[in-house]
Amino acid sequence: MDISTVCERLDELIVELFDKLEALTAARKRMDDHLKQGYFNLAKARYSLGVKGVGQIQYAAIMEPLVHVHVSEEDSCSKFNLDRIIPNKSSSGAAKKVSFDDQESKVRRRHTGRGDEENEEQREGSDEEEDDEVAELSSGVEDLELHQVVDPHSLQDPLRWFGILVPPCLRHGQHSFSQVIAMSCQVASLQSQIDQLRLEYRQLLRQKQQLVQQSA
Amino acid sequence: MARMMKAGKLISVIGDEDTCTGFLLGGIGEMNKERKPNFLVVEKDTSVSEIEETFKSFVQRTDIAVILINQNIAELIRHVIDAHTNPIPAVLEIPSKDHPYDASKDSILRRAKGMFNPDDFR
Repeated sequence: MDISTVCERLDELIVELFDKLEALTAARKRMDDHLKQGYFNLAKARYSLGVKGVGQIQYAAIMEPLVHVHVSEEDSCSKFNLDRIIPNKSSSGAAKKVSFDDQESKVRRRHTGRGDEENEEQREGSDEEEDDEVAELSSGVEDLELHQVVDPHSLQDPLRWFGILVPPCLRHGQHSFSQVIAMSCQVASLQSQIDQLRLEYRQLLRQKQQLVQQSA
Repeated sequence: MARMMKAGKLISVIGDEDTCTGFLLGGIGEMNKERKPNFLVVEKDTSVSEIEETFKSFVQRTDIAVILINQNIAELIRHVIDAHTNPIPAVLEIPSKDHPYDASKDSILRRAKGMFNPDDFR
């Protein structure tokens, strides 16, 4: 590689590095703002729930993460992508729905039982439908049970550790910290890029010094 | 779905009670099969060696992608953080409730600053 090419590449790297540093500073600033808001909301929640109301005593004994980071390699830099699972709050709601449908089918069966011969065909038809519905419901219940066996705790929202009716500031605090988590992946990716640029710069600088020594 | 979730890595946190509570509310908390959590609540009586050991154990764990640590706690184990140069897990220093973020103390930024050695420009 020619010395002028090396110098040009070094200049490009410096410009790129400063761009990344600027982006990192901006991302850091946003992350700090969200964190500040999060701490403030937690303090307000502690004021509502009591001094011991928001702390490690409330942590659940069994925890499952709701966020996962997927790391991918792009141009020899690590890119951190966040994957969030929204906790399903309606697991009991699904069970209620199943029982409601079951009641409905029983009532319908009672009505069809009273029919005369003219309604016999309709009754047969409705019986078939009911059988299908029952089959669907039973499969639905099986699915539900299977799901509960596979993953019983991951569906819990961490807010529930602090009670059923939590103050809104705790909810806002959770939102702020969720944003910080999302931002942290962005910051981690930028840090990785900066580190990679630094290594490349050092390597090129060494190469340049060797070329200068050779030409001297 | 459970298998899909296992594919991703975790975010761990070392910090004071408020920092850990906030991030656990955000949904990063995990208690693995050996009952080892991915977080450490640093209290007044938590020793530096304990923090150091926990940080090292997080670094060695293959299921952790990002380590969040309060900057004032990171200052206590600076030599260990400076020695960690691998891109994964990424170490992020964050401010705590009582200590604002100081960019001049951040390991990554200090490394970037160290690029510009006056001797290199002679």
